[in-house]
Amino acid sequence: MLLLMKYSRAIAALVAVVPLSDSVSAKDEFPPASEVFRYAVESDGATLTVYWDVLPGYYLYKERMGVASTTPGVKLGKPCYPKGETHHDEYFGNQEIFRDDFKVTVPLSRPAAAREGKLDVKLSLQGCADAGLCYPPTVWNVKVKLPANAAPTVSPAS
Amino acid sequence: MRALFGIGIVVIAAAGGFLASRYWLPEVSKAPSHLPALTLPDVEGKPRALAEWKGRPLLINFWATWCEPCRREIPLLRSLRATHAAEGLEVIGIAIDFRDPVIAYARQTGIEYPLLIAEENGLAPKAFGIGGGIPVSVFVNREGRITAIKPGTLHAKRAEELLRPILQTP
Repeated sequence: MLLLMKYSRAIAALVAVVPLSDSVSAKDEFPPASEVFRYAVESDGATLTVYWDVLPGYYLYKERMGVASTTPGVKLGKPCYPKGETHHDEYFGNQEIFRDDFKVTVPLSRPAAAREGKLDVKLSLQGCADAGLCYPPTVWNVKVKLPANAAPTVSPAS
Repeated sequence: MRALFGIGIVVIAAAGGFLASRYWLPEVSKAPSHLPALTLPDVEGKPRALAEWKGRPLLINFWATWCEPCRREIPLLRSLRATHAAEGLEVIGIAIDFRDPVIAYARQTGIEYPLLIAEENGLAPKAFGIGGGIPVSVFVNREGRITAIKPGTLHAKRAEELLRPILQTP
């Protein structure tokens, strides 16, 4: 999955610089957010991990990122982000941003004897291009496969 | 051999068409030829129809307070409006943002040109056939024809090039 994300990122970067003869030049064009901010989500049942892969020249704002569960009975804790880059914004001050590949881990809790199932997750994000364009705040709905919780172990009576 | 070559050409053409539709002119191709019939509230909540400015060359700028490159190009937009006032140019800012932050920012920076509030539902950009990111600047001539759509930061030289066709008198 991550390998596929790498290749598609390279292809998108190459295609985006093809010259045009029209009044709108290639440098005026930006790929859609879904091509710029790619992700893969997986869970081992105790943690949810979001692998982000951002196209070169683009970034995401930490403050405008979020992960939420909409599946009843499944709760997500506080996301754990890596250390980002400091980006100075004249209006909003210093902001933490993320570029390239990074992962966000989120503690997950659910009933002890939960079966294998699907988790509905909302990923919120907002990012920009260094070339001078920002994508509006957006929320993407993602389905994540959850493995069955192991049956609780019982200690033998001594 | 010739058949294989023909199939190859068809495949390359189809792939090219697919990529072109996604990356080259994805939004401009969906843009209306003329100014759409769109009415949006201004900062005072009064409905304003774009038709109100018909007959004038327009630079319609999609922006937001949360968008750093959008805020950065506002001084240029103000300067273009002042420079080309005698030719009738009007700049209209369409905010993909909510009223309160727009009012606060407009007060702080003293933006003189009309600001319309489109919020974040995407309907106003859709009326112009645009999507994705902002800023986006739309150039409209006196007849209401859209002559150019420029996504991303506008620079002075490029702005003048794109303004030239719309400032001409018929």
